[in-house]
Amino acid sequence: MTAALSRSTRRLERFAGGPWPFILPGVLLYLALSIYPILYQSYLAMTDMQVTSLSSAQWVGLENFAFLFSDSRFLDAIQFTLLFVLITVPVQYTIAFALALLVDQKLRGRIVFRLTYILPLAISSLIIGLMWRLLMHESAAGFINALLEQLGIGTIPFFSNPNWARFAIFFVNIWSSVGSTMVFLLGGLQTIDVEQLEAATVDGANAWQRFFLIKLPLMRQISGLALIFMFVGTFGIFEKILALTFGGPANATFTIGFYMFATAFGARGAWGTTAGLLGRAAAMGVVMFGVILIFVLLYLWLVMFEREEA
Amino acid sequence: MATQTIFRSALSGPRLAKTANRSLLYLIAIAATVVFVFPVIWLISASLKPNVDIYRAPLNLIPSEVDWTPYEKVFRVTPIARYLLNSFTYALGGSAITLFFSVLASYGLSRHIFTGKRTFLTFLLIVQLVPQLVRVVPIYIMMSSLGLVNTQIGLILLYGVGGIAYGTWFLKGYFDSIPKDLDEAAWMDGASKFATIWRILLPTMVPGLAALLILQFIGHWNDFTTAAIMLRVPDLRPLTVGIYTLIGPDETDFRLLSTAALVNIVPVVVVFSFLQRYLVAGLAAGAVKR
Repeated sequence: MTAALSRSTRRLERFAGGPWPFILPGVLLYLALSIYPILYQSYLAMTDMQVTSLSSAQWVGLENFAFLFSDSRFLDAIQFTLLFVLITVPVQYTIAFALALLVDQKLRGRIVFRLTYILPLAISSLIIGLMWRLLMHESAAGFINALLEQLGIGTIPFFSNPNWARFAIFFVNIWSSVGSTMVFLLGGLQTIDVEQLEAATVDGANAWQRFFLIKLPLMRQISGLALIFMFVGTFGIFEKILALTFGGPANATFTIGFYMFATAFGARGAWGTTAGLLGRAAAMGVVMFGVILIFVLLYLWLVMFEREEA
Repeated sequence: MATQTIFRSALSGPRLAKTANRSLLYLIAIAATVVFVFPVIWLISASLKPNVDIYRAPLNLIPSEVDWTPYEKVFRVTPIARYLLNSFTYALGGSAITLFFSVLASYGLSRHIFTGKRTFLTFLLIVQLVPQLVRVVPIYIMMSSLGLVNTQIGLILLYGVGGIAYGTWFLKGYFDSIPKDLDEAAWMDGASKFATIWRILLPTMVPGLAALLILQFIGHWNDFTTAAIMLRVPDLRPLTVGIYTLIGPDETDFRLLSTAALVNIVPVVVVFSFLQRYLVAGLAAGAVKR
C-alpha cells in the first residue's frame, strides 16, 4: 500500500518536475485547433450541415463525396490546382536557387538585395492580389499594359483571356513566395563546408562543377524541405485568387481552396456556387487534406529511403 | 557564424569574379530588386497622383502634383481607422498568447530529454505544414458552438494558439543556445523554474522573442481568411477584410484602392525593413537547425 502510494507520488513528482507541465498547456491547445478540426471535419463531411442549421445536421454518409466526384466544376478545380503546383513549384525553386546563389556571393549591398527579394513576404496575400490587379489592369491605367502599349507591343488581356489569367496568377504567386524559398536555400548554402569547395577548386573544378557536383548534392535535404513547403503552400492557394482573378474568366483559375471557401462562406456569389453548405465544403476539405497528406508521406518516405541508403 | 560567412565569401568571391562577369551579377541582382520593389513604388505613385494622371500618364512615377485627396477620403469616408485599430489589436493579442505558451513549451523541450522527443518535434512540424484554409470549416463550427464567432477574443485566440507550434520550434533554438550552467546556478540559489525562465533565461534571448513577436504580428496583420470567416460584423473587421469589401464590382477608383492597400502595407514593411537582420537570421536558423 505504502509502496504503491509512494510510487504514484514519485510518478507525480516526476511529472510535475518533468517537461510536461511546460509543454502540455500550449501543445494541447494547439492540437485542439489543428488535429482535432481535421478529425472533426471527416465527420462533418458525412453530414448535410448548413450554415443556417448548425445543430440539425443529418448523417448522409458518402453523399457529399459522391456529389463532388461527379461535379465537373470540382474535378476541374482539382485539375487546375494540381497543374498550378506542377508548373509553378519547379520554376519557383529554380529562381529561388539562383537568387540564393546570387546573394551568397560577395556583392556590395547584398544585404539590401536580400531584403528586397523577401519584401513580398511582409505583404498580405490579399493585398498582393489587389496590387497586381491594378498593375495588370486591362484599361489604360494599368501600368504593364500602358508600358506595352507605349512600346508598340499592344495590350495583354490579363483577366479576360483564360490562359493569360492563368499566367497572371502563376506569376504573382511566384513573385510573392520565391523569397521564402530563397531564405531556406540560402540557409542551406551557408552551412556548406568551405574547405570542401576549396579542395575542389585546388583539384581544378570550375564554378559549374562546384555547383553541380558539390553544392547541389549537399543541398538535397534542405531542397526536399523547401519543395514540400512549396507544394503544400501552393496547393492551398486562395486569397491571391480571390483578389486577383476571382477564379475567372470562365472558371479558368478556379482552385479547390477557392471552391471550398465559396461553398462554405460565399465569395460575393462566385459563379454557380451555393454558399452555406458546410457539409459539402468539409468534404472538399477532406479531399484537400488527403492530397496534402500524400505529398507529406511521399516526402517522409523519400527522407527515410535516403537515410537507409546512407 | 557571421565571421564564417565573411571568411568563406572572401575565399570564393574573388575566384568567381575571375570566371563570371561580375558586372553581370550586379545587373541581375539590381533587375531582380526592381521586379520586387517596383509594384509597391508604383502603388505609392498611383495613390498620390491627381485623378487625371491615372489614365493619362500611367507610366509617370512622379506625379505632376501631389494630391492627398485619396488619403483624406479613405480616412474620412471609410472606417479604415477603425480597421487599423482592429488589426493592431488582433495581431498584438494573438502574438502575445503565442509568445506565452511557446516560451513554456520550448523551455520544456529544450531542458528535458524524453523518449520520442525528436518524433514529437517532427510531428509538430508536419502538423504545422497543413494550411489553415483546410480546416476553416470545422474551426468555424467549433468556434460557433463556443459562442466565439463575431467576437474579438475568438479571433485573437485562434491567432494565438495557431502560432504555438511555430513559436515553440523557433524559441527552442534560442533556449538550446543558452548553457545549462545558467539554470543550475539559478537553481543553486533557490530560484524556481518559472523564476529561472523569467529572470535568467528570457533576458538573454530578447532578440529571439522580438523576432518571433514581429513575425507573428506580421502574419496576423496580413491574415484574411480566418478573420473573414470569424468576423461577420463590419465594425470588427481588420484591415484586410475591410479593404476587400472596398473593392467594388469594378475597381474604378484606383487611387482609393492604392491608398487603402498602402495603409496595410506600409506599417509592416517599415518594421520588416528595420528588423530584417533578426528576421532573416531567425528564419534561417529555423530552417538549418534540423
